[in-house]
Amino acid sequence: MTALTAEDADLVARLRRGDAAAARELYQRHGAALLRFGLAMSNCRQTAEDIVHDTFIEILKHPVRFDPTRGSVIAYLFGIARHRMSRVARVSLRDAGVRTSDPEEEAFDPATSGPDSALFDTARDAGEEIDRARDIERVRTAVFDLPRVHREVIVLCDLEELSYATAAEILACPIGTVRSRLSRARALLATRLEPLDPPDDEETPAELGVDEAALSMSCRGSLS
Amino acid sequence: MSPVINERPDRQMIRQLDDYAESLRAQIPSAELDARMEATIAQWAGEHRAHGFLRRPLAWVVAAASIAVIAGGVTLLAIGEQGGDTGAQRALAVAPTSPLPELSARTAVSPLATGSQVSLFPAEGAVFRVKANLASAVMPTSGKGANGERQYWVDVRIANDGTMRIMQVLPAERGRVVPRE
Repeated sequence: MTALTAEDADLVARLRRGDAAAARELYQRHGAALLRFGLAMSNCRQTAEDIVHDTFIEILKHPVRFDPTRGSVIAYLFGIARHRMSRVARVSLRDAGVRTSDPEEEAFDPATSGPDSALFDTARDAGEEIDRARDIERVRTAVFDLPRVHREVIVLCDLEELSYATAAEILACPIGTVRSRLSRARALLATRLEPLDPPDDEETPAELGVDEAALSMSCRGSLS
Repeated sequence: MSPVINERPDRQMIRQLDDYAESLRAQIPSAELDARMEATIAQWAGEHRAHGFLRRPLAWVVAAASIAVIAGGVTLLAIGEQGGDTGAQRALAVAPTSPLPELSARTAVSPLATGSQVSLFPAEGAVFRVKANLASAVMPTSGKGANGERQYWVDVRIANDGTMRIMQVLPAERGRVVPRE
């Protein structure tokens, strides 16, 4: 156990005693990572923030459910967030038939939203910035269009740069499964990022996982 | 596409993923989320404080011990009340054996001390007020009282060493105190 994970485990132990300072520190440490996971998985800032909030509510209410002998706190938190995300996807699928757009729901666009726009205020050439923003948007769309099991490993291993072992804890599967899923996910991603990709209209919701189709519909609908 | 395991994505894709990861890392929780979390944590901490006391085993032990002490005290006080009555009855039995001459069997005892004091807190002695009839053989009768006898209230102090001492004698008819000493 590394020093960081030991400190995390100590924070969770303090949660059992009702230590509000420990709760705040845990949120400061891992809130942003969970938010990034939520953004990449749901493509909606509001959904991502709800996921973060629900995840911390879960660990605040039931800190005893965390067993430090079974894994790290970060893996435990990501695991909660992942389950919440699945639930959101199911609800989105249920609502997809009746909801076409939700003006309250803010879609996540890294090229234009939030503090990220500051990235593009650097001294780069305007043309490069536009190209880069376009590339990021392509990658974001391609990642989001991956089936959920493949999107998860891309987000955890390539975007969050977690170890295979941690990803295996989060996904509750063997490390070998993580490796094979990651390989498959990268291959799928590569085809979607090909410069001479076939037009997007060849992609149908049937190609995606059912929940991905629902999420995609809800988040794209919010853009309209 | 053949599902070949390849853990090394091509450089172009690595660069694109890095750019996307960088843009994601720039995303931070909004002020609204921070406020929600702060409110949630404050509420959780408040609830934990409210319920935390009852969740602690030590609190239950202290509460149980306090109840036991209180219940024990009440029980002892109740026993003490019963003990006081027994003390009065004992005094009735003691009275005829006193060295006072010719105390009749028709005596009444009125202890001055409370029963609880007698039984719970042993003192140096206890004082009893005994109603006694004095026969004419000791004191000439004056024609008062039934059958030529006179009635007195006698305050008797019984010490814890077994000795008995008459504190004062009060004529029952007139309420006049007749000092013994």
